[in-house]
Amino acid sequence: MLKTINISRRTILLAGGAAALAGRFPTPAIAQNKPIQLGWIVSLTGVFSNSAQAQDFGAKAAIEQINESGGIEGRKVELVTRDSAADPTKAVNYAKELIYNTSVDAICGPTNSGEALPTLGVVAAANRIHVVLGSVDDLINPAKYPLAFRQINTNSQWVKASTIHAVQKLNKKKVAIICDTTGYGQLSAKVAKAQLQALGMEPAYEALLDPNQTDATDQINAARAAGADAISMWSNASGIVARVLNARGEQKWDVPVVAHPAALYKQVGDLLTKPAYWENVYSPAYDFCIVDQAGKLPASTQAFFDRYKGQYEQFLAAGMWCIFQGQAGPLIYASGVKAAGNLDAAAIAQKLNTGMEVGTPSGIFKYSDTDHNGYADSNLVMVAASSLQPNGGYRAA
Amino acid sequence: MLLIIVNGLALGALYGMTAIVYNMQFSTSKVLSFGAGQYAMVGGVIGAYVTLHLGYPVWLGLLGSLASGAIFGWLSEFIAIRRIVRTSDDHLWILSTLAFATIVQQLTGIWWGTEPTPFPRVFEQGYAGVLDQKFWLPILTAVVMAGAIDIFYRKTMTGKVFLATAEDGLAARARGIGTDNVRAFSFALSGLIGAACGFSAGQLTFVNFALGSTLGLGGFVALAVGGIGSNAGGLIGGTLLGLLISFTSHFVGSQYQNTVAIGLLVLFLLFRPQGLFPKTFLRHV
Repeated sequence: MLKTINISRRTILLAGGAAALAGRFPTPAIAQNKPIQLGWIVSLTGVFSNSAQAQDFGAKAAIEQINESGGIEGRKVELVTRDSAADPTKAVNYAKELIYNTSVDAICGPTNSGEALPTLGVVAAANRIHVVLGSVDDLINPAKYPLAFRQINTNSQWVKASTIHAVQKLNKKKVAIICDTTGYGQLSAKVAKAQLQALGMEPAYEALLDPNQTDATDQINAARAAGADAISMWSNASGIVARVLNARGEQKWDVPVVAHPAALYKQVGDLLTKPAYWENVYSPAYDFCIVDQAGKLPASTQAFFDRYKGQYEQFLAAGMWCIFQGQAGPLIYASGVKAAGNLDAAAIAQKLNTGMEVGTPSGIFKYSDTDHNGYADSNLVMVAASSLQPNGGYRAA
Repeated sequence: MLLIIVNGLALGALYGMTAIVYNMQFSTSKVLSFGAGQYAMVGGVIGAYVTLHLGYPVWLGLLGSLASGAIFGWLSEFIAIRRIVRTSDDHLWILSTLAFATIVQQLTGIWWGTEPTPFPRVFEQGYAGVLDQKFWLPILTAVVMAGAIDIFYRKTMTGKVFLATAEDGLAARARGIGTDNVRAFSFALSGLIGAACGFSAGQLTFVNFALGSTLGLGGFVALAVGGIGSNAGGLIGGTLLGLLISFTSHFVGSQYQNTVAIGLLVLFLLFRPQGLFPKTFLRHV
């Protein structure tokens, strides 16, 4: 005969309270000493591999330095890396795997906006801090994803700095906008137009180029016929950037070009028919890669390169800033955890939102409840593509 | 306007040569290999590697490019076709050729890199506008290639063996022709043609691991327009496609050029599935 046990509501509440209290009891030392695991989704292979490999090098260097300085709250930090191969589906699957199977404490990456966008909801649903390495403005929305923070500048910051350079510094009045047909290119075309309108101008000409288009002479001639005196070009595809610059050079039309930092890549220079076609091309770079009159890099940048001599050089082709951008994610998370004193995502976000200064080699980040971008415009410096130095630095334009 | 036309013709020549690759493989195997565009990618990469990285002269780069294409073509037949067509009546070769092409593309991306890289100038020439070699080299290569293939089919015994196998493989086998060897040879030859296409395209497209996918699609559209089995049809189909893409880019916008290419394919598949120049074989009875 079954014995009936009566459980009152009070008993359940008491048991629940006891369980809740038990959850706050000190956990065994071994759990405290367990390394903090940081999931790192990075497209080491695929179309963005050049920049992503440099960012990966930077992230690993940051983890090494965090651990050398005692880790976070006495705990070592481990980077759990997954190669998303520039595939958004893989990025989402790896985000789920890292959170639910590996049980990482936070996620850094993916390393481009196209992959990052679909992972935001996954990471947010799991209540993890998410430090994102994508520049597209719409990516970060504190109201929708309160635990997601950006670890680089926004695309608008790049376009704004470039537009101001073309209009105010170079004194150009009729700017043509040329972008590629990717999602990034089409978004950037709108941002570039808005930035021109903010300065009281309309684009002299607008065109989108298919990434497979073999020749851009047609668009260059159309921009010229429209009376343009400068080009604002937004594409992160080095092939497209080189085709536009080649077409401009071949048509002997030496108007200035302000462009995505891809225009600074060494591989773009290699694709140009003549080195002279790289003249009069300007892009936003960063204060940490600006050389002085003697051609020397800032002391902190040089110190990093001295430490990693023989290792970092292979990543310079994608621009040295990729290495430093990669360092920012782990450092932002480490600063948040140190400030909060624990790994609770809400507590970390709350601390980061106070406007505390998070120092990273790529610049200082300051977040608030309503702004999770955090990167100051003042960190950006316009440079001439042709001023590339042997040490990877640039001269300010 | 002349530049738009010349650019369209050059682009069309690349699609036309890829259509010839499809045709040559289809004639002996009845397989439309989805790796057809990858021969050009491999040819371009090897050409640039031999000349720019190893520092050898351009003619050695061309030889290396052609050899790599022929080897890749033969391997395609050996790995992705031979056992599949023997053991299965289903169209499993769609998967096997696609898988093999994907593997080659991925491996190339890992080894060579995913960023476009430069290709050397084949002839000493400054930029010459519409007369620049980056435009006329693909066009010339396509015309010479089509002519050479025609002579090969009509004037050589091996060519006639190809035709016999294409017309009726069983009858050819009954007459003592080693159709397996003919098929393998046709794949090696088509790989060589694809590599020549890639070598001639290098200055126009840059050396890019993703080139194969673009040419594979464009070549297939050219094939559908021209008609399967007709090399001349493939060249004309490619030319039409190239010009259409170039004009679309100029008059409508570059963002619509792929829509136009796929639209053209759909139109032909719906209203003239045999293409403009369908190949017909006459049999004496």
